[in-house]
Amino acid sequence: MTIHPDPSSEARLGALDRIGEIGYPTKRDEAWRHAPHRALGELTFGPPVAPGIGVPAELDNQIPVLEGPRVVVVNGSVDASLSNLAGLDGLRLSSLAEVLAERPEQVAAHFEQGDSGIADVFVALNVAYGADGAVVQVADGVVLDVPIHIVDVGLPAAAQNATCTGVLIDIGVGSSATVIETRVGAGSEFGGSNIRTTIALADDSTLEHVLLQDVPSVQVHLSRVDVTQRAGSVFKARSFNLGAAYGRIAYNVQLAGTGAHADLSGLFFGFGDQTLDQQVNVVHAAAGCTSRQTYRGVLDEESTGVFNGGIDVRPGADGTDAVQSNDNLLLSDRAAINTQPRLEILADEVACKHGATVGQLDETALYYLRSRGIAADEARRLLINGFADQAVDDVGIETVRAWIIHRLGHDHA
Amino acid sequence: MSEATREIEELTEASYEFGFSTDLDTDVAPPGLDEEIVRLISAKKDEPEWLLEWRLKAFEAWQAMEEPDWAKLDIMPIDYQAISYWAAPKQKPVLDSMDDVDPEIRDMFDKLGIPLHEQKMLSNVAVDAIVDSVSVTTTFKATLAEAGVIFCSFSEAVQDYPELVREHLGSVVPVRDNYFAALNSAVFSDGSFCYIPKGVRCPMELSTYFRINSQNTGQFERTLIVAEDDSHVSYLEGCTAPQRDENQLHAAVVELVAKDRAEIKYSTVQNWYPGDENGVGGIYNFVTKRGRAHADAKISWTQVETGSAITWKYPSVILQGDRAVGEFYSVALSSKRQQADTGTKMIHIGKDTTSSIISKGISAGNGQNTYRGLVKVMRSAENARNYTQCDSLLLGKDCGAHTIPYIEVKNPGAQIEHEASTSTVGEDQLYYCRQRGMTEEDAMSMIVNGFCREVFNELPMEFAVEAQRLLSVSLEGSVG
Repeated sequence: MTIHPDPSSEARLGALDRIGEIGYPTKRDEAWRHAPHRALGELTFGPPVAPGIGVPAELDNQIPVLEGPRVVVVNGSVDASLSNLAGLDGLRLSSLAEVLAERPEQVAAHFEQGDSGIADVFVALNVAYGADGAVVQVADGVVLDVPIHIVDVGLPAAAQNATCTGVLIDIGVGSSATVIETRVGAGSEFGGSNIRTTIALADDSTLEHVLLQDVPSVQVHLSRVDVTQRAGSVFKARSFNLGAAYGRIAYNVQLAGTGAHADLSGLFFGFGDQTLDQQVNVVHAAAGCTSRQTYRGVLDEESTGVFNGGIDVRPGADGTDAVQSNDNLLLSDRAAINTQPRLEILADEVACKHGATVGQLDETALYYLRSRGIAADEARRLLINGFADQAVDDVGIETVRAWIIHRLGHDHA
Repeated sequence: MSEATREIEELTEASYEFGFSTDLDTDVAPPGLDEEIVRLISAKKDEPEWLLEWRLKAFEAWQAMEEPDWAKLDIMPIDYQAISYWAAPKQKPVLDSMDDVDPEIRDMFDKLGIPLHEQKMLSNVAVDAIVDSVSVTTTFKATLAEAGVIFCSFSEAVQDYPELVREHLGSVVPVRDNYFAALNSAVFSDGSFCYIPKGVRCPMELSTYFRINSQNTGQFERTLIVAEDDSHVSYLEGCTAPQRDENQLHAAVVELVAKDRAEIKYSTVQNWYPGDENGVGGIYNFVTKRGRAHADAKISWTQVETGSAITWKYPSVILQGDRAVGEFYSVALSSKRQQADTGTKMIHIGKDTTSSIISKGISAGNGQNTYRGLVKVMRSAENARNYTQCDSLLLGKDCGAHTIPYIEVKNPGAQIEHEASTSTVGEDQLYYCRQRGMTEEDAMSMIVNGFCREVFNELPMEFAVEAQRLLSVSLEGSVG
């Protein structure tokens, strides 16, 4: 099924007709095996409600403070007063609603689902209702030093508890940029956010994309990032899946041009009865591409971690070099991890590797630290941080790195 | 085209060496499956009432089930009503010695390179030869009887040891386990039964040769091996099948029970007819193999899968007792249009249980090879350990290699490691070997055999030789 390339509201709402056909995911759907199916069914979607309700003060400390270009989306609508849409040289930053109204052809790709069709019911809902959000357009040959910050705030209301947001990022030929997406929320009500990011990387462009997911632990969070990479482009994804009762971050990366490189890493850190789900699929569709997936999970209390990562090497993608790893630390006897590192290879001349490990804190290392006079709790924290740090160290922006360390330490003190 | 590429093509196009068919006068049931057929099979075999009821229960379950479609397999629809579910060689008098065996059958075994009349002297292996669905001859019974080991056809076991069969049949693979297991439970024809009493080390390797010989006859073997406390047995299963034009369904069930401190080693060399270069006529091999290991017991599966158009097979171990050990060693080769979706399941329930998985997949021609495995650590399985290694080798441009492991851990004391790699035989590797004076053929052979070595090392001696031979036949031309 192909959504009409004209992203007018009628065409987008046409996606709703597909919902009955696609149906809600069940335990039998590989990509949704460990999702809370009942909670997903209780999400109610619709067009954005009550724009401009502002951001509660309690969120001030939960959002990293970054100067520069910023888009703040509250309950699926851009809040202009909190945003800073002033462009920089070579950067055009807009609200999705504005682009849809004024130059819809520029965002058609975000709403058009191509030959493969709509992946699931939440994509269809996002196509239908995700009419606002952020559009980042970087012209050719531009190197942006300042990170672009996109903040999504979900404040569930009883009438309609779920929000949809759309984010588009287009990086021009030879350009480079950094985009931070922060997803937070407030309140103790059940609700959810469904955010879809479409990224297009032109030849030889570079994007560092950081995704911070920290919505309240009563909510459901669904993130989906679709990336298309042209020749020689570099995509660095850093995801931190920390909040939500069910927090899901899904990447679908198409290496469509020769010599493209995708480097995805992520950390998921679960407490309480959280389920943190990472779904990663990297498709090698062109020759000579490289990809790396490095995911680390720490699961405490009764939390569950999920890693379903795929490397999909298409015919003709000779010279592929792909590596995937998922290492997990189980800290409690009620925590669980489900990991599925997949390789699907239809070309020869490839070198693909994957690895997965599950373990616990090293007793001898704990003993060593304690024998040096370090308290048990502190020793434990040191070791856990040591495990998690690999993912954190890789984040280029100091402010964001500090925020993550604070966030991890905060929950761990 | 490079020398190596051409040789790969040559070898993947090698024809099936064992493609011959022996004319045996068989008694075949009309095609189709209903309750009457189930009753007919049971009656033909003169089975007790409880077994008929068990079959009927399975048949009822099967009717309500749907054929699974999750495997990475492209399967032509199977018409279960077009298959005949019963075939037996004509009634012949009970045989006392090898000399009484039908010369035609003996000739067939000779073609397969299994000189049955020499087995006794040369290899010290008891052979339970199955031609179609009824056991024709069983050897070495006396030697085994001396040790107290029961090794007979399943039909005989039902007549002679009904209590043992009744206690264990379906205890590891329940009738409702899956579609093909339910089908097998309803219509299973024959198979092997093996019982090792307490503290007995089976004095010889037990071996069964399966052979499909009658056109349009699905084979539904049932194997049950029970190893009592402190016993030990090594079991070999191997099969080659004559060339056929129509797909033949093979849905076997193998159940292993290893009681406290017992050890079962189960080795398979599978070489069913893979179909021609267009994939026509090969065997559909849907097998359910599972073992239950009690405290301190060990179950080891080793398989070399070179045949079949479609292989759907996941030999599994339920590590129920504390300190139980499960092992899985596999070489799966798919060339031509062969498709293999195979792997293992290790279910850790007991404390301090360990499992290791070594899987080697080789894809050539248009073959598709999938490793699919599950390592599951239940809450109760403290200190569980697993090590998994899945390697794939791609020989050619049109084949595929897939690795789909599932790891589900619910106990923090578990240590799980999974590693996988996919690679090709590089021109540089071949060139390096040629530099050292090796022929291209020897080089390729060395690389492929080296790739499989870890698994071949696990096979009993005589099987290791056969496994290498099968690999050579399947990759004829430059390897071997």
